Amino acid sequence: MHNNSQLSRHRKIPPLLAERSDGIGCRTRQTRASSCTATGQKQELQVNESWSSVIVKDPRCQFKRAFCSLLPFWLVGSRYLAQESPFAAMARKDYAAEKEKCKRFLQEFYTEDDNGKKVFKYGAQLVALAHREQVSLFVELDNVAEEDPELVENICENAKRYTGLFADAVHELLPEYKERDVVAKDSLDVYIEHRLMMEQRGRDPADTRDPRNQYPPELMRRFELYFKPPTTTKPKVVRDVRAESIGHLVTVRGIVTRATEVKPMMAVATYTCDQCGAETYQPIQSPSFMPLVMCPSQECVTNKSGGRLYLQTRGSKFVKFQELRIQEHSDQVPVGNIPRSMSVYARGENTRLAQPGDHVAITGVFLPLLSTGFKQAVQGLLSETYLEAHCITLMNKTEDDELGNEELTDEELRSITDEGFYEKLAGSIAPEIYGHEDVKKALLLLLVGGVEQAPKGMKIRGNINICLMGDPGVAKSQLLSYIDRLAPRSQYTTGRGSSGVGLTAAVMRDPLTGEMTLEGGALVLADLGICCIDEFDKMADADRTAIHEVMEQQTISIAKAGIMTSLNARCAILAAANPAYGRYNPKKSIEQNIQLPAALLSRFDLLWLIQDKPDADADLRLAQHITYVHQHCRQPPTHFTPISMKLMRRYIALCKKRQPVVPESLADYITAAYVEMRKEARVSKDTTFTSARTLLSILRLSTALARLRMMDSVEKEDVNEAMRLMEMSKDSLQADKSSGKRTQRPADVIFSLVRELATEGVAGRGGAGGVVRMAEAEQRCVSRGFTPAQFQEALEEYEELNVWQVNQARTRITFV
Amino acid sequence: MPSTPDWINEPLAVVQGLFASSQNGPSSEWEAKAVEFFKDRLKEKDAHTWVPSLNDVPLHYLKPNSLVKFRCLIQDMFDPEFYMGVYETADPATKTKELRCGKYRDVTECGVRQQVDYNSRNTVTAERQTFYCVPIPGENAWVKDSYAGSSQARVVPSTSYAPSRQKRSYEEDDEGDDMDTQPQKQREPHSGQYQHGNGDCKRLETEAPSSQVGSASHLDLNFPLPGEKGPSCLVKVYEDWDSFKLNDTLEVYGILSVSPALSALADEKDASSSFLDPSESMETAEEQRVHSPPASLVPRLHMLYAKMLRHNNPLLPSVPLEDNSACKEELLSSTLRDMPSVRTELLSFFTHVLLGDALAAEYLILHLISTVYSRRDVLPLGKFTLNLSGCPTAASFTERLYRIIQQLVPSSFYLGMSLQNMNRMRLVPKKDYVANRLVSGVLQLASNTSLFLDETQLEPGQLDPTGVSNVTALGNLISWQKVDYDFNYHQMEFSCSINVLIASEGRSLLPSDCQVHLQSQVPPPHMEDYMSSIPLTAQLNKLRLYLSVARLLDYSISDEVTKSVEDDFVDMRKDDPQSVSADDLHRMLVVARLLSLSLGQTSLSRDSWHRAKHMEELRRSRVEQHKSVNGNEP
Repeated sequence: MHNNSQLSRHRKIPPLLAERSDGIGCRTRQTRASSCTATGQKQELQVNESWSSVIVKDPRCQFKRAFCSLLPFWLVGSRYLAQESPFAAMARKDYAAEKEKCKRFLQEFYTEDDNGKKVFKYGAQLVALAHREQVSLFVELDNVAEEDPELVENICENAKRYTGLFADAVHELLPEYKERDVVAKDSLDVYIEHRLMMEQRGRDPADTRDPRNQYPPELMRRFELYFKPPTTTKPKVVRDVRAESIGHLVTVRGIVTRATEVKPMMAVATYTCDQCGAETYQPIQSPSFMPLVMCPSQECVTNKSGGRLYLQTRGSKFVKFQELRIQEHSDQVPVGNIPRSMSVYARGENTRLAQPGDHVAITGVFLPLLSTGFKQAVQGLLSETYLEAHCITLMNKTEDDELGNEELTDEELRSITDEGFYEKLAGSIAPEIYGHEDVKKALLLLLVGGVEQAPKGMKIRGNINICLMGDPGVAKSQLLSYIDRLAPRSQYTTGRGSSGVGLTAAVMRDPLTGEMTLEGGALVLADLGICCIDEFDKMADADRTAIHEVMEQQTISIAKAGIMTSLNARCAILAAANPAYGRYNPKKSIEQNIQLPAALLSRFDLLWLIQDKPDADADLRLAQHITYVHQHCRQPPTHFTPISMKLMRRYIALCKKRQPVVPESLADYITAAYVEMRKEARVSKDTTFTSARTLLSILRLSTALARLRMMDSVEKEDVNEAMRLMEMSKDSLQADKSSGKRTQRPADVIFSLVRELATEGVAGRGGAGGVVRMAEAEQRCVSRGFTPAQFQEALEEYEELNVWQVNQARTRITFV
Repeated sequence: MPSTPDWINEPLAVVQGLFASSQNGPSSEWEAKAVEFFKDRLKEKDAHTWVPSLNDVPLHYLKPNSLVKFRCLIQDMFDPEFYMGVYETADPATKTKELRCGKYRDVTECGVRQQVDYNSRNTVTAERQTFYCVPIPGENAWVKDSYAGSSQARVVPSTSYAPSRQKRSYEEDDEGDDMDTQPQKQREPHSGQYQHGNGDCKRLETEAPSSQVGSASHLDLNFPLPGEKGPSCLVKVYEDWDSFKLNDTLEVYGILSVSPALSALADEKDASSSFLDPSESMETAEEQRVHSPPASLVPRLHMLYAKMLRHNNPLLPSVPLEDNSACKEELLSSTLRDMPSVRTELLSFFTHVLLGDALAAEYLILHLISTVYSRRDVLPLGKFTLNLSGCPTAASFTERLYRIIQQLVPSSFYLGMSLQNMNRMRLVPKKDYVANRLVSGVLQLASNTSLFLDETQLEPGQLDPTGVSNVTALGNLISWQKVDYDFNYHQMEFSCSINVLIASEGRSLLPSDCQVHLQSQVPPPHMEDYMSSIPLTAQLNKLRLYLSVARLLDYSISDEVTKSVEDDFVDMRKDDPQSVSADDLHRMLVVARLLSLSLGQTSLSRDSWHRAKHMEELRRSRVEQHKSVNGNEP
């Protein structure tokens, strides 16, 4: 475009010019700037100030000499082209008064610190600005609201104009805040200083105008002014920013899809004339401009000397400029639509804040970009729009998810936490999949997660890992994909499709720079979330080992291509695997069936075998379920309405904030239960592993349960339920064996448990032979996965058989 | 035939008239009135056939700013644009001002010596949405011809071109078509073009200098399928654009805008765009090219009215489904009566084509009338992907089969799953952030398109990452009827309803709902002669109509039958729990549904259920025989 080509062409600085004093004529030229054309809004353009002609006398020679080492040419005269103020409101407002308001705010706003001392927030910043120690000034609209709520409204609706007003106010205030001389930082500072001095010297004493007025304000200012939106405004979705938002201060969220290089953009072009040496200024507000060619100075015009203007790079002002393109998040897009995008112009200090792929919230003024020249004539009907950035904040995706934003209302809380909420929540997981209540409960706990512990540098993970095994076609993948969608942060991958590198991290060579970069795999991307791995068994052995570390240490260590590092992978793993022979073969051991190494299996807190067993009742219910779906094209009505995914997510997020602890009093109970489990494992030659990891699993599950109840400490019921789940998961693996040998009714098992307890009592604690305390017995049974109801049933049954007696108060069982 | 009415030739005059009258009167509802006006006009008998269609009339025969229609698929949605809904023109000489309406146009219009007053306070900014539309991908030649044949639009060609084509009935040109429908993309236009009579062939000749060269050299019109032709269009939508979804098929009635100024604009930008300029960097040259291509290649269409198309079968009236239900009833009842007989005909035809295998023929019918009728959460209901295994590789059996399917369904696509294709082709649409558009892929298809996957072309070799992701995409499409479009930073799910037919030698590597092993009754040497017979056009039309109607029928299951189905299932599980699972029940219910529909029955009878069960048993026993030994597979 023009300005750059122009630059290169006029790189040569013209030779020193004749010293001539000159009166300078003035001309007004209106450059179309961004003007507001909101729907139905009347448009009004204003010319800033009526043009006054300024005569600048030639400064004396000595003066010139003194500075000639700094200045490439003599500053002889000056002019600039008037710029209309970009904004016009519906009703003509008294903007001078508004400016005073801004000024007053900047001067007078203060907060009180802890000692009750007044802190002038903006005053301090103004001092920094005056000394060139700070570049950008953020006016927080929250602060403005404290002083003048009406002003905030005006600012939000007419942001561009108020940016100008505030900038003017700051500009006028700065000299008052200047406490000492400032050392010039760059050539432009020197220029500004000189220009001011020149003007003062050459000023007509009769002229009382403020000297700074003679130059375009943009040229003399070295600060940038931005607004910070009030915290009460909600970020909008890109597609909601419509024509009526034009000119308003809006906040949008999205993902950056493109960011250009930061380039200098001309803010004020400075020209010198090769004939008279006068300087001409041209403030630029539109993206393109037409360079001036002929010198408009009085002298050149009257003499018809045909003075040519040359662009002065050093005398011009440039600002950093970057253009971003943001696109709305995928969850904000209605189904079947393409995500919308928006252009954002970032200037000055707002550049280089975001990179492609970043999630950002950008506050800015939504403005139309009117085309000029031929394009305008042709396409006059259209206008492009952009967002002039004021404030860019990076946010990471988990934070900005809707769920965290609002607290659950009491009503919603009540709807969740009423009777049987545990079953209800579990049932709301994949409601379209029939049955599998315990599996769903386990998945619910996986979503909530246990409490992570890190005593003295040792880290014990809180995430719960679950492996689902099962015959083909038992909806494992559906459960996985449901969890994937429900979890706020998750990755879904299949064992077959992902290599070890795809799961952990890969070292890539950047195609552009040739640098080695580390690219995270699924497990890294799922950090603080859930990683669902389907077809776990199909993974190559070498790849599977990569998971070992993740599953216990929750990190991934990389030593590749000279990059040695450790990445966080604090994710819960939900794996699904098919049995090795297509179907689960009850005659073989678990390892043979699953073909996964024991080291890996023990890292799963829960292993579920979902088997497809014929059962007339269940089959009928299944059939009813499926036919209903086909008949009515929707879910069959259930006895409860499943909780919506969104509510679930928010509830789970709420639960995760709790950090329940295991109280001292429960420690013995848990230890005893663990010892019991170990003993049993030895006796029954258990094929699963009962190791120290099991104990940790129980703790994790119980803390997760406590979280789910929104409690700060684990209770006995939580531990019992955790052990019950463990038991059930083991049962699911062994069910076939036991059913092959003999069918044991729960009552029988409970009986044998109680008898065991009775003999234990004799041997260990010296209790009266054959007497068992009821509470103890019940606890034992419950920890084995029986419900209290079953226990009571068994109790009565055997009482009737006269095997044992229960005392009146029902506290003791005595064997006959 | 009456001469073309003004509202077709000069729709903008109508709009301007309504606008002007609204300015005087108090009513401000002129926008709705304008839309109503055109809707009413189009409702008149046959009125819509007078409107020339962009699909079959070359662009340069159409009058700029006239009403045209376009049968298309929404391929991409651009960002909304702001335009001057009302603008003012001023005559500097007389100082008179005039308000004009900027709706439905791209370029401001003003009289001699008038100027547009950009700073007028009467300017109203409004918003409109742009969709990038392409002709329905994979639309078969007979559909195009038939639509073209029914058009009564009076397009006056500029030169010696004789518009006989517009009137030609379908029968005249089918001899030409039957022979060479398959490789129609590569087909060379030959001398006998009048007999040949394919719409886009002619366009190919007439437009060769402009569009062919243009599109080949620098402008990719972004058709989902390779080798597609026809105009693509930027459709500007003024009302209610949220109701349109990506991949919807529409018939758009709108005002054609091909102002050369639009192209001049693009050129000007091109010339002036320097890579260093900050303003131009916002819209890269590439983006510019995509979003405002030359109007001669990609015309603009300002939508007045759009009709969602539930099908694109020209033999079936397109409007009636909601409006004149009497007509629909009549049509339905007549076809319903015929359905069993047509079905027998079709069955015998397919049996013949499938080398004498009646069971495979039955399943092929079911497959062709299947459609996703509902989605239960993630699970699509009603999909019926057929894997035809045991296809002979000799005598290009699969190509012939596809050619026959092509003759029967409105839109279809043949994808040879050769290694090269899988590694090279772009199946999944991808967002191109540089040009800011959705680069189309083969899987961006309209609903109910038949996708024919030829796995017999697969040979051993290495799939590269593209190939792997392509196969995954196909797998997802089959099991979930959705395609994950690649948006670089994330993926977006778009659900679809595509009938996938996989022809393979053994069991396909892709999942499928139903696998039928072909049992040829014909010795291989005779195959070629055996397959080369095709029914006559009239008969073909009957079959085509049958397939489309069967798909649109409603269907229900009574409680009574439900009960017996449930009991049946429990019994089956009792007998053989290992081989009957929930998935099987799902499939059997779908088979039963399709079977009933294919017979023209709109509810499930016990009879059909048993028949479906029987078919399934036959099929399963056949699959058992050919089961390859693969321990890990279900």
